[in-house]
Amino acid sequence: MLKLNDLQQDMLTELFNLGMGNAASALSEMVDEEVKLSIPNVLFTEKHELTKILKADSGDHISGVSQNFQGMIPGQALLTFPTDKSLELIRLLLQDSVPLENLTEFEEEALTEVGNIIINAGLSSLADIFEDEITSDLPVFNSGSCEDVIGNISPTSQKQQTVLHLQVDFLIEKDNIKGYVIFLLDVESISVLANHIDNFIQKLPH
Amino acid sequence: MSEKRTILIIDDSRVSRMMVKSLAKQNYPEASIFEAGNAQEALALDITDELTHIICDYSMPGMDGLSLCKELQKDHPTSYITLLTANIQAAIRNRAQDMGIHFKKKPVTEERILSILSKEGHKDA
Repeated sequence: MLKLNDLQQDMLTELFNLGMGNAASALSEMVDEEVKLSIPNVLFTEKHELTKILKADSGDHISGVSQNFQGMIPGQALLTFPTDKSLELIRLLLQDSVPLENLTEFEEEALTEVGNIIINAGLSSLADIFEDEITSDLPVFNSGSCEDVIGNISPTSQKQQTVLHLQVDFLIEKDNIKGYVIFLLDVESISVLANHIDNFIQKLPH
Repeated sequence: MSEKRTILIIDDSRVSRMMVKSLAKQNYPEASIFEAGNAQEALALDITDELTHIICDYSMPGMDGLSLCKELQKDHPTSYITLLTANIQAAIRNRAQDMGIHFKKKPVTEERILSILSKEGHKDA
């Protein structure tokens, strides 16, 4: 199995940290509250393990927004949060733009836009650091059991069992809204990413 | 006296359009606002007024925001055009800049929308 060396893994964690910093800043602006981030969790895992990881963190029912991306490193990104917190999140987001009684009507669209902004904030900083470009598909909203959501975002799961799983937990403490941003890179992407990281490290002043 | 704002908002997210529109209306109650959910809809709009401001998303189904802005520049050469996008990569920002299109990152905030709409169309462009 392909692995990253310690330096590559350290660099990747730092880059992901930076990207998620951007994402948290975007989320914080949207909800006008401080957003706390966990330390990134970077691990190689099997696709089927993802459901277990998500279930342990979020419970059985999750809502999520996924986005496929291509370019220098193809992969998938997923923003998830427990379904029972999603209305709370969009209430913070939309504030007085929408009357409270109409909130549920906008739930899916509002969450899709939140996902779009957060995922792109993360992807953009990665592309900029490597002075390359990442293109992304349109965001897709998923809601259901962890198995369903993971199944929906991984149509190619049979041929790419091992993935690099990068996860950061975010918390809007005041409202106790917790969610997760997960990036999944397949094995082919990982070797490309490792090359990018090596090139980047080589260019650093010694 | 500041000129009346005539604004076209193009975004496939209805929520984003709503937020931009709500902030525009709060600050410029006299503004005329047109909306489109994609490039095709935007190009099909029959707008006879001169648009002072165009606020356009980048990632949309069909034609992307920058290609749309290129089209809109032909019919609205004096409009203050801004790409308002979650895709904040330098590559996109540079392409916008090369086309004379202003760039603002999402999320939609009052500060960002006001900094766009406070510009008096072509006078500040």
